[in-house]
Amino acid sequence: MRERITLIHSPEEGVDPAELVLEPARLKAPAIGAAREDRLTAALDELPSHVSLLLQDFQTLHAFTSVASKNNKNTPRDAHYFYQILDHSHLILKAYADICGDDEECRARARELNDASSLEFAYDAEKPVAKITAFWPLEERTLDITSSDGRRTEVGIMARGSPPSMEEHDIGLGGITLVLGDSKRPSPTLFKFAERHRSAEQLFQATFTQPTGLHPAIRISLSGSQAPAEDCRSYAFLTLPKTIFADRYQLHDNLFMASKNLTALRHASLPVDLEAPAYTTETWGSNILVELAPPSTTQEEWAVEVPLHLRYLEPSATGERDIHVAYPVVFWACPVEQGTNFAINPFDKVGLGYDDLFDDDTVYWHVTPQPASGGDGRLVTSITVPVVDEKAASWVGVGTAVVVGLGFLWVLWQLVRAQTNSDQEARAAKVEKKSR
Amino acid sequence: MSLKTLALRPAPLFLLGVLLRVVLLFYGMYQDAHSALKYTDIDYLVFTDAARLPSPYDRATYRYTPLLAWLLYPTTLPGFFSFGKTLFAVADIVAGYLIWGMLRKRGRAMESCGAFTAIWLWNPMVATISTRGSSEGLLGVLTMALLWAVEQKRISVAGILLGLSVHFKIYPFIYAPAIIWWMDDANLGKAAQGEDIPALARFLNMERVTLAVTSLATFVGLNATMYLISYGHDFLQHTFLHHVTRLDHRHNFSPYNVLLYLSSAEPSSPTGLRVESLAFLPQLLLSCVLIPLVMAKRDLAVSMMAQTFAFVTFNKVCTSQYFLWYMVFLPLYLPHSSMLRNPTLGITALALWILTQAAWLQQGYELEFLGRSTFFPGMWLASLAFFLTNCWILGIIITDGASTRRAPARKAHAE
Repeated sequence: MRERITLIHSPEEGVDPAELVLEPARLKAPAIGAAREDRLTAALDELPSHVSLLLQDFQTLHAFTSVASKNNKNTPRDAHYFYQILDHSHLILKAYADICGDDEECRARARELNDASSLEFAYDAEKPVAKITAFWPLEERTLDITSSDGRRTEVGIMARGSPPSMEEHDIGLGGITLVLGDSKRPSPTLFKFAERHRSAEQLFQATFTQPTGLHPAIRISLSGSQAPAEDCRSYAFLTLPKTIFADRYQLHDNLFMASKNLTALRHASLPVDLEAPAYTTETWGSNILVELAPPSTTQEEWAVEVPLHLRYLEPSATGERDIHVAYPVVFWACPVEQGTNFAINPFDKVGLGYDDLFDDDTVYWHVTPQPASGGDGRLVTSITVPVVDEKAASWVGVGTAVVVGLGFLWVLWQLVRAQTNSDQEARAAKVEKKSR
Repeated sequence: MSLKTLALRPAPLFLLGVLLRVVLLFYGMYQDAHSALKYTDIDYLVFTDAARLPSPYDRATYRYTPLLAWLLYPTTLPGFFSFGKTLFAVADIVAGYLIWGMLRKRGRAMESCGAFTAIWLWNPMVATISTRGSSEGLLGVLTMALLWAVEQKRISVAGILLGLSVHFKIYPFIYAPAIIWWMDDANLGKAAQGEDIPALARFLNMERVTLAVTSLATFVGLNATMYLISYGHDFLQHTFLHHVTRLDHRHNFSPYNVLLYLSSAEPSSPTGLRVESLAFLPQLLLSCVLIPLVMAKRDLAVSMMAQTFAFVTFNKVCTSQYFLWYMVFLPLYLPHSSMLRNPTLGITALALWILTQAAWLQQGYELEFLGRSTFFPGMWLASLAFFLTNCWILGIIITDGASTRRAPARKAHAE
């Protein structure tokens, strides 16, 4: 089991190594404005048995919780995805505490995760290791870390630096690292790595076209159509709750796609029932990757529309229900420049959902999402779905039965009348026959 | 000879029917190639996708017999995408030919036969549905062929057609009791058997047994073939079980629609017996028992029309494509209809049928495109109004059909 604690501060600030208090198994540092990342890595056999038993069923499991916004999304990867508007950070915290066992220092660290702004649990059966990563934003913070037996604790305190031979889109970091218990003094570090995720310096907003009806289209308005590099293609990756879905068969015709400024549907998760109401659908939801079709001449503003369909939702007291759809991820995917190696980035993040659909040698230029004006600032779009009014229940049951009953009786009466007439006719015919 | 009379002669009658479909076919191709809004029906894409796949059931929402996918195999070849639409359009024309033949056999004048056949052949709704690629036209030709075979007393052919059409779309099973009941000695043109023969023995004549055996053999044979040779449970599930177990919560014309939506949302209703679980009772009682019993012997065609009308009206799901199922009988029903003898009645019926439908469609538009919650009361009331209108029209059809003199019986006496 090992943990890595990293503080990243601005180049203007810094920690005087002389101010660090290094005891064999303890490190204290003075207050500094820094962002912090903690990562605990445990092998499968170091996990408590109930956790490792659970993980045996998974090839990979990736859970990501953004605690600060209380809007979390398990990032899909491979065959196992979940999407819940639930805060499951307590599950990750519990897993951390369970891994600690009786180690009180470790449990203290687990408690610190309570105020992390994001938490991530990742398990990969191929390694097989579980990683818990926590992140705190830039803030004035002090450091007091104690290590314990059976846990290797590495600490790094770094800022943006410029190691030699930095290239464009490289990130350089410089500072000190040390391993508690091992290092007598901090060792200076200077390294660089290539950025896999870059900013395309374009903005987008996602809204539903009005009126939404039962077949709403999500409209993605972008602030530029210029590709950030050569051979780039632009994409939108949508993670949809089960209340709304894309019809993979509809997103097929070239003319139709072109009319929405789309090139093609590149991926759609399965299964997606095309008819079932939300309340009988067990699948968590779905995600799709659509390739966008930027205008051939560079434009300041352009937009695409992704046509979607609503499922029927349960009745409500108002005849309406609101659903919330997370903003899509909009990005340009480009081939990596020659000679770039992403593997040396200790902070590289994979398993974001869409990255499994691309080569490892892909650079993502992200278009920055802009929350809707006048909203609460969250990257969520909402629509009001028409549903049947609960008040209908008391009328519709009786009313339908009465009307269908009346209709049936009317037809029945017509049949009886027709039969009686024909019986009379038959009798009359018989009488006529006899009288002849 | 007036232009009208000229157009209703057989050659121009059918030529215009063909021309209408050819024009629509080419128009459809043009629209599909140049507009993002497609002329082709979504269902046609389902069939043609299914025809391409190793098992048609690999295509989501394919809920038909594999026969349909096989029939449409040519659509997978380059340049033959419209093969299926052409086939459905040809089926329309053949159905029109059978209608015309049956009208002629009833001894009607050429022009009159042409006029009533034109109700089917020149009907823009019929031509549009088949050229957009909906398979309902195939059912039209199957039911007309079934009626034709019965009237021609080609009992084995009728049995095979009955078995085939039930395999294709289930609902034609309602015609079985009507045809069986119709096949008495008088209607078959045979000398009446003596009163000394037991009633059951008299009932079980050769023709009835032949029809039962051939239709059952065809139906069971086709199902066993589909089940055994390839598609197994998928076939049963999608072709038959789906239609029995489906919960039709999506808005449609059926009077049960909002009720089904409400009850689908609460699977464990505490009230025990639910109204919708009894919905099949009035539907089957009317379309399979009472209407055939009262009407089949007098006028089989009108009985079949009334049965279909009752089946669609009382069904738990009802879309406009189902209207085609009874519209194919219109040319055979209308000549003796009080709705034609009494234009006020006819126009009132047609106007109510269109207006209540339009009211529902307006509510449907507000729901589907504007997102307004019109399920209750608007759409619910509109569906009930449409239902009551249909019940009223059904009453007229029943009265008309039952007042037809038993023509074949008179003929038997004359022999």
